[in-house]
Amino acid sequence: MDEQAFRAVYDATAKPLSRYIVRVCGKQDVADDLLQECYFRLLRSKRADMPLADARPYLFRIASNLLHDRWRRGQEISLEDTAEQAVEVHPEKRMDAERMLQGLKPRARQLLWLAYVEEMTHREIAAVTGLNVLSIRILLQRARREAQVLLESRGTEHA
Amino acid sequence: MPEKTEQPIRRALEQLNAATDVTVPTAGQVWSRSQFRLAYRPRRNAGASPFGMLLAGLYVFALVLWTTWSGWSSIGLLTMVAFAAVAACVFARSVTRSDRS
Repeated sequence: MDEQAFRAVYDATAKPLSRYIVRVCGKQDVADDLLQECYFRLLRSKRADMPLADARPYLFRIASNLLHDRWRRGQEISLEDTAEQAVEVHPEKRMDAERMLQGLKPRARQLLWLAYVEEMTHREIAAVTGLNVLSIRILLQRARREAQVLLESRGTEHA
Repeated sequence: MPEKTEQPIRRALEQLNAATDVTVPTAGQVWSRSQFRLAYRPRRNAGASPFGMLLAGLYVFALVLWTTWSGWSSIGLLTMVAFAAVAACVFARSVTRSDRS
């Protein structure tokens, strides 16, 4: 992959990938390192010349593997750092969403983010996370249930 | 799951995504860091070759025999020196190859 092709891939994927990592891992500085590592691994791979449409899920797959390695090492996870990074657009609503994510397990955060923000299908999420489609369906359903409970509990507190 | 229960989650996450202002390094920075790492990453076949290790092992073995048995002639000494020279050459080539990037 030459520099120009890399720039095209990077410009199209860096921000969404960074947001995904920040929201799942919860730390901006760690996210910066993981982001750099993702692109290093892409360039190192024998498939580095793949088209953008393939590079995007491949990068998310690398990021998911790196995040999974962190969970396994027990380097988890508080979302308090990310609250300071966000821009104040709708503070109350943002806080609700922050707290909802904070109350979820990393796997649930990851699945919800991929499904609703990245708009990935179950099959694409399965490819990114390395789980099978059936597991994705079940885990996503569970994550939605937990998220709904957390959002409703916040709603009750506001009322 | 019905659409209406999904909507609040979707909306909350979309708002959070829109509110998350991440700063990422430029493509040029990531490119140059990655190129540096690719150029200087450790080689997979770095380190001594098995042949070099075998020679070194034989040399040590012969050295122990030679120092513990007084019956060796000067031919034994020459053999030892020859062994040492060959082993040194093999190691020198191996080190040069693995240090070259």
